[in-house]
Amino acid sequence: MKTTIKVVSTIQIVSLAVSLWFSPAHAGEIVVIGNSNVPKMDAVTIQKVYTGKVISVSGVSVTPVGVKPGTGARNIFLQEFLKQDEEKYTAYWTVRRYIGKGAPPAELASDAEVVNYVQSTPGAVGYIDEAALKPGMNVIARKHTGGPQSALDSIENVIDYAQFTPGTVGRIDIAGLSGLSVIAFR
Amino acid sequence: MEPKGIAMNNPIAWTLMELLAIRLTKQKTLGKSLVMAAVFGLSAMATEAAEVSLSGFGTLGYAQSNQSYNFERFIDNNGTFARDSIAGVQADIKITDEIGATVQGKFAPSIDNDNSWNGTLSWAFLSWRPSNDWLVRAGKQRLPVYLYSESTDVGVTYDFAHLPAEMYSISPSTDYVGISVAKTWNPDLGELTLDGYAGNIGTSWRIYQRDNVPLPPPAQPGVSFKDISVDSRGLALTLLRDEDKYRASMHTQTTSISPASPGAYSQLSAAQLGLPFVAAGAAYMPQTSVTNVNSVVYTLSAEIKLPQDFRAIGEYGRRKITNALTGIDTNGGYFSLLKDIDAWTPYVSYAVIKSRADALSLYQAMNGNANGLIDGGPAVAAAVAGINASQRVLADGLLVYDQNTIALGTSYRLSPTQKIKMEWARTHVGVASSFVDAPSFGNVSNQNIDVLSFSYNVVF
Repeated sequence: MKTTIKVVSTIQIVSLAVSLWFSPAHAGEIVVIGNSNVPKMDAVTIQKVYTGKVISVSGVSVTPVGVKPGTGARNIFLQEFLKQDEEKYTAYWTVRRYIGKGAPPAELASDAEVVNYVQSTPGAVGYIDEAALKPGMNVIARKHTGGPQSALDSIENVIDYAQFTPGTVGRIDIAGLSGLSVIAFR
Repeated sequence: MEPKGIAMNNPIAWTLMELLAIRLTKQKTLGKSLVMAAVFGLSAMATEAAEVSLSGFGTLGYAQSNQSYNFERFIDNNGTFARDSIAGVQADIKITDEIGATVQGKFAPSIDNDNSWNGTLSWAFLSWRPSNDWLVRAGKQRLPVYLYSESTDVGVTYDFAHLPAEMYSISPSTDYVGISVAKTWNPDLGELTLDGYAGNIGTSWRIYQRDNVPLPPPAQPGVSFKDISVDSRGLALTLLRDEDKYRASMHTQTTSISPASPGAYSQLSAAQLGLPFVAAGAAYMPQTSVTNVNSVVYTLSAEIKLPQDFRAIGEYGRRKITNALTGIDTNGGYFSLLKDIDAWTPYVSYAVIKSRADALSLYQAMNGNANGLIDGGPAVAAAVAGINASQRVLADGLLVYDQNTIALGTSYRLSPTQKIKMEWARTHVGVASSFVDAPSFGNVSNQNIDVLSFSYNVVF
């Protein structure tokens, strides 16, 4: 018999049910991935990384990358993590570049390029649509923007989601439990 | 017969006049050796670097006034593209995770010739960021004096058609070659950065003289440029809070004329000519000598987001000259109110700059000083005419400022990387203004100068 538990982010209260069982990826999910040496981050830290205010996190030098305007999850990432739109983000980096405080994150052509770059570059951080996420990748943050119900495709993703999304509840096999708040089990 | 007591034949006196006639202008290019070292060094690094980010910027700006004489160096009633137009490229090079380099070159009107354009290396510095909060930079970089100091050349980064000269001229140089250290804190009120720097730069100061002076050595009217050296050191505290920005800064600067020049004076005072055939019988002449001009510059700046999409921007600058009586001892600044309406940002602005009162009084006394000939032949008459002309030359050299400007304008954002701007501005010149090239043997005082400006600004 498979033992299952409910997990919840330490911040939050039950409001959103998340299923473990293998289902198609949900549109509107955005994940921030990192090379294997990159630690988990909260949204504020990610905002600082992508605005050039932070270059190292927990002693790890980080290199953020993104996708080109109009591509993939860029708009959702800007909105959900940076609280900016395309225009403000471009304007921000235009000023920052020309006050001599660095260049904006490199912009790659697609989610697939981001995945390849992040996996092969120590310290790299990127954002992709949930659909491009590969099993075993280091998800360092996640935002759900697609509605009240989501179906994730692996235990790791359920755990990641619960860790980074306040107010979520996930159901996983007990073997995947580590460092999470258990709110119920049977 | 050579009049006694007049210092016009004294080379040191002429040096003073040249020094006092130094006009605040843009900095000159780096010395050749430094440029070579910077270019080769950074090129080598770029070759090895994993990441090089290239970008560019440009402004095509046209301005025309309703006056026949030049204002702000280039503007007259024939119109000019020279005041606001510029093109540049920038390379940001990531050498390691902590070390980077930035090189910026620009093509703009020459800083030592009013009739030519040239390319200069405006930035060339290495950056070392050992942690999130510390930044050390060495090389040629921008002085953190004004709210828009660092991006003055990049018109897309602000909405004004032209940054007010009343504020953006108070430092004798915009750049320096040296080292800077910045520390950033992130308290609850925002991001706070303290910049400290020290450095030097060789540059040119623009000299304008209205009149011809027949006495030896002859002083040629018109525009000339003088090599100077500016030592700068200072601190700037900048607070970023949401969409608001505040900056306070203090700078000490020593401006020296080129080493080949013997020196200068700090005082101009009236003395009797001792010539019985001259009616007024007095002239102003240089007294105490100094070898440089020492200044302390204080600035306070703020850009504040207001309700209803209004923004208020204001800057104040105090330039105190500590060792000479000169018109460049000024108070100045501006206040602007802007409103963001979709892609439009209309604004109204008021700017003012005024020299210290005793400098303005001295200017008026010298400018109006006219000795009359009682007796004597043509040679004496010529000498007296020369004396009078010399007084106006000295007045020009005092570099006084007494003007205010009201401006109405707007920017229109075509995209995040392109802006069109237009502005009407009326400058009222009071006693005089060294932003004006007054006509030969004439005065520009108590006059209005209207300027229309249009520009297209882009980054890519």
